[in-house]
Parts: sequence; C-alpha cells; structure tokens
Amino acid sequence: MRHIARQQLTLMMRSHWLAGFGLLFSSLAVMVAFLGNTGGTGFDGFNRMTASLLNINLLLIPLLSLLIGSLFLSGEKEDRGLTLLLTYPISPWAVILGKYAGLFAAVWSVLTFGYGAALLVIFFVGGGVSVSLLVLFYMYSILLAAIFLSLAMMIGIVAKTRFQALGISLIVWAFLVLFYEFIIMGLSIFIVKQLLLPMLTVSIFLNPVELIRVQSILSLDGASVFGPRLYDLTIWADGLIGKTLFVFAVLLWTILPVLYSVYRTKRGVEDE
Amino acid sequence: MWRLTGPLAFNFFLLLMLIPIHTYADEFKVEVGQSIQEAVDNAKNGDTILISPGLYKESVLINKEVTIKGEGGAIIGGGGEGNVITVTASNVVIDGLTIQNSGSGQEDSGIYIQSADRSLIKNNTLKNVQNGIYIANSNENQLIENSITSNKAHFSKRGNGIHIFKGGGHFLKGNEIAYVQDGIYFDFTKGIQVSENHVSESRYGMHFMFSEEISAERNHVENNVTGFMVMDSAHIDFIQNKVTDHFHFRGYGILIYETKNVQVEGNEILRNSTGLSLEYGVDTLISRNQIAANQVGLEFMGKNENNTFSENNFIGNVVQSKISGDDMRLDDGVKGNYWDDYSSFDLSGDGVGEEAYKAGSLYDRLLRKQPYWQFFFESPSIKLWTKAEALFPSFGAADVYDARPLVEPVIMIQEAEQRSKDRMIPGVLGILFILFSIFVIVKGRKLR
Repeated sequence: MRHIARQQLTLMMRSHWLAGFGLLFSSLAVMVAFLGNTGGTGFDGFNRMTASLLNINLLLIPLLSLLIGSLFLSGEKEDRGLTLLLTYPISPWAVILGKYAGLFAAVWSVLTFGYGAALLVIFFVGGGVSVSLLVLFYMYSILLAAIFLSLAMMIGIVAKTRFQALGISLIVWAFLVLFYEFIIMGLSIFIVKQLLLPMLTVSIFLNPVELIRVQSILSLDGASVFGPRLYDLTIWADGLIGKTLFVFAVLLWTILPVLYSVYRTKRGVEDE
Repeated sequence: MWRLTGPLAFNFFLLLMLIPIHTYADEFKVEVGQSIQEAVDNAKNGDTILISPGLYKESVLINKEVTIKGEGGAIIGGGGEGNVITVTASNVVIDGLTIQNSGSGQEDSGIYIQSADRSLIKNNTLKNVQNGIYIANSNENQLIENSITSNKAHFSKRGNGIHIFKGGGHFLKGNEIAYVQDGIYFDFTKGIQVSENHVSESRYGMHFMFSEEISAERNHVENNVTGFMVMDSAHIDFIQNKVTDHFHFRGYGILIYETKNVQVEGNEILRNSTGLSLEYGVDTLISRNQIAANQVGLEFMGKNENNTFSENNFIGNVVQSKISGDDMRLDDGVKGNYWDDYSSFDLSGDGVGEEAYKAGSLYDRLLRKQPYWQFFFESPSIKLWTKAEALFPSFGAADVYDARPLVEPVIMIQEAEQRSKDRMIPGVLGILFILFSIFVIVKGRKLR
C-alpha cells in the first residue's frame, strides 16, 4: 500500500493538472488576502473578505479534488494500468487506499502552498487578517479535499472513460456547490413554516459543501450571520450534538465513497 | 541634642494640630448588634462612622453631612420595604457597603438621594433592590465603582440601576450594572458625565429622556435589549463606547429618536439586531464608528435633517443599511464611509472610489421577502446571483448614495499596539507552510 501511495504521489506531482490548479488556487488566495484586507479596524469576525476566502475554498477545492482524482483513476483504468496493478497479489483495499493516500498527500501539499503564500503576503503587506482564521480555514480546506477526493475515487472507479469521469465530476460539482442551494431556497418557499428549520438542518448534512460552509461560519463566532430566525439552529449546531454530528458526517462522507470504490474494485476483479 | 529635639518638637506640634481636629470631627465605630441609625443620630456634621463586618437589618436615614464607611463585609439589609438608605443631606460619603433588600415600590431604592448635593457614593455593592441608586432633584453627586443588580424577576418588574431625576452635574464612573430594567436612566437631567460604566443583561443600557448635555465615554453596554435609547433629548455625546450583542428581535445598538445635536464618534457597534437607528434625528454627527456584524448596520426612518455621516466602517453587516423616508447623503462631501460590499475601485489614488456606493443590494431585498434565506449569506450561489444581477440595470432600489465611498477601512487607533506583537506569526507560519509543501513536492517528484 505504501508503494502504491508513493507512486501515486509521484504521478500526481509530475502532472500539469495539479501544478495548474495549485497556481490558480495560490494566486486567488493571495489576491483575496491582498485586496480584501480589513486589517487595522479591530474587527476580525465573519466579514465579506472572510466570505470571499471561504467561497474560493468552496468553489475551487471540490473542483480540483474531483477532477484530479476521477480523471487519474479513470485514465489509469482506460490505459489498463489499474487492471495490471490488480493482477498482482495485492488486495483491492491496498490499491484503493494507497491511491487515495497518494492523491490526498498531493492535494494537501498544494493547499499548504496556497495558504503559505497568502500568509506571506499578509506578512509583507502588514495587514491585520487574523492568523487563527487562516489556520482554521486551512483545516477546513483539508477536510473538504479529503471528502471530495473520496468522492472522486468513487467517480473514477464507476466511470468507464476519462470523458465520462470528467462529465460526472463537473455535474456533481455544479450540483453540490451551486444548484443545491438554489433547490433548497426554492423548497423553502413552498414548505410549511414548521418544517423549515428541520429541512435546513437536514440540508446541511446532505451536502459536504454546506457542511463545511456552515461549520466555518459557526466556528468564526459568526452565529449572528444566520440571523435571529435561525437562532435555534445556530445554537444547536454550535452545541455538543451539532459538533459531534459534524465530525460524524465528515467521516461518513470520507469513508463511504472509498468503501464503495473498494467494493466496486473487488467486484470488478471477480468479474474479470 | 538639638538635632534630636527638632523632630520630636515637630511631632509634638503635629499631635497638637491633630487633636483639635479629632475632637471636631469624630470617628466612631458601629459593631454588629448596634444601630447605624442611632450612630447617625448621635453624629454631627463631618463625622465618620465606621461599620464593622456583619449584617445590619435596618433602614437608615442620613440627614447630616457624615461619612459612612463599611469595613469589608458590612451588609445593610432593609426589611423589604421602602429605601435601604435615604440621603437628605449634602456632602455625604457612602463607601464600601453592601446594601440589599429594598421595597418593591416604583421608587424604592438601595440608596435614595433626595435634594442633596455633592455626595460621593463609591465601592458599594447593591443587590436585590428595586432601583439601585435613585437621585432626585440633586446636583453634582459622584457615583464611582458601584456594583448594582436588581431582583430576580423579569426586567419589566425590576427598577433601574441608576435613576437620575431632574437636577444634574453628576459624575458616574466605573459602575458595574446588570440585571436591572434600565442601566442608567436620565430623566429630565442636564450636564452629566458618564464614563467607563458596564451595563449588561437589562432592558436598556442607558435611557435618555428629555435630557441635555450628557457625555457618555468609554462605556460598555452588552446583552441588553437595546444599548443606548435616546428620546426627546439634545446635546448627547457618545464617544468610544462599546455597544455589543443586542440580539433581541426588536433590539438596537443605539436608537436615536426625535433628538437634536447628537455626536456619535469612535464607537464600536458590533453584533446587534440593528446597529444604529436614527428616527427624526436633527444635527447629528456620526463619524469614525465601527459598525460590524449587525443584522442591519444602519437604519434611517422618517425625516432626518442636517446629519453628517462620514468615515464609518461597515463590515460584515448582513444588511448594511436600511433607509426609508427622505433621501439622505451618506457622505459629508469630502469623505464617505467604508462599505465592505463596495466593489468598485479607486483610480485617482485619493482613497475614494470612483463610483458611488448604492445602498441596498438585491440580497437585501430578497431577505425582506424570505428572511430564512439569510442561511445562505454570502454563499457561492447567492454570490453568483447578485453578481449576475449587477450586470443588468437594477430595478426599484432606494435613491440613497454614498458619493465618496472609501476603498480602505478607517483605522481605529485603539487596537494598534496589540497588533504589532503578532506581526511575525503570519510570516513564520507562511514560510513553514511553503517549506513543507515544497519539500513534499520535490520529494514526491522523484520516485526514490
């Protein structure tokens, strides 16, 4: 498993995809840190600069993880590299987990680079962006990458060709990041008032993007961001039950797709 | 010899000087079991009465110019009727007492000052009292570092922390007030200096009615229904106060209603339902305030005339401004305000954006119809929607502009020194991050 992870990491590091995305992410993070800096005002809660940074995370990291992960895996399948690998006496567990670990290490290093660059810019500009905030976002970005790489493994295994993987990835990304919220907003117009809060609560856990978004805002002491009408939800989600459920949901979102990929690979091996 | 007798003679002289004063202004002690009232009755103007630790169950009427000084743990408990201490003489000092259990009538208080001037009330703890300190028709009293809480009841049944009725010229500093109706109530008063007080968990932090020339500096009001409530008053100054966490559904940070000549400068107005609300305000000057993380940052209603509004920071308010009624300028002609949702640029380098900031975005209007959509504040989808809307000519927006919006937030000096200390952290952390990632990338590229 270690060797597979190591090999996957090397493959990733040599790919131009990752380098391109890394550059894009870093430059955007640097720009937000440079332009949207509200330092010196003494207020470091949730503001629009933080929101922009969060939005970059929410838009780019899922896209990056999904595309890189699924394209690599489906590509290997197409080129028969994966099939060859599976003929060796290694368990599918080791193959899938190794690939996942390699992918994760690669994306992690790119994210670290982006955040490091943003931190350096803040240092040189002398802005007052709070460091704890950036570190917090860094953690959440890694979680987001972990979840979406896991989804990418699944897509890569399920898809038959590179193009299919690309299509599925883009659809999943657009649905989770953009359309999901519009659908929830649409539903909230028709639904009975009593069911609104439960629906919003459930909607958080059904979408990893929402999960990370809501938790980031809450942990920034931005409880007021959601307003007086959602006060109950805020208190609940910020409490012990909410936090436990959050950790649980993140774990599920990370583990289940990987498990499914392993299951598919095993079946695939038996079929052949 | 002469050298020795010199100081001795001096000491003797001092003693001689002191003795007549002693006989003139006596100092006596009241022990548990004795009556404070009796001691006051037996005292004469200028005397000092020391209260030993213990519980004294009585109400006291002070009608002479005496000093009452509690030694740590001296508690005066009224019997739950009327005032605990009533002061009707001037120049009284009340220091270091715990005062509790007043009656529950509307004016029943821990300390009631009736037509008395120049008293000094300091370091007292008042609890389970209807009103804390009630000052009626008196002048130039000083209330310093008292701690006041009212009954354990809903705030509509409690009295006020400090109630000032008529008179004026008082000085209030460093009082700690919680669980009362209104922290400090100014009722037909004039010329009062209020600074460094802390009011929390009450209805209004400070309530100004028909009062004039009041200056509130560096106070902290938090977790009340409304922070500062100003009605029908004039010449009120709010300088460098902290007004935070007024989450109540109808709560305001600062509410100014039918008031003239208000100065609001250098305040931090954070996390309120509505930060600053102005209704029929005339000649107000609002500048250099930090208005952040409120549900509604700024609200103007009705007719507000001749107001100057500049150099405020509006950061992360869900709705930055809500303006109904007459058109109003949001800048003073030279400088406007910093709005963190402003999206144009400064091309001429004077720190002022080239395009006017228009109050009220699409999202503000959406929120009014669908308040639950606040759940999606600044989320990717909403962002996409507002950006798409901005490309098309907007419809039905209010005609309120800031013609001179600032592109950089106004820097508030208060926090400056704290920042320089953690300046190194982002640098060190950034270098560590980059080194780590480069290490992984370089190592990763080579297979063994």
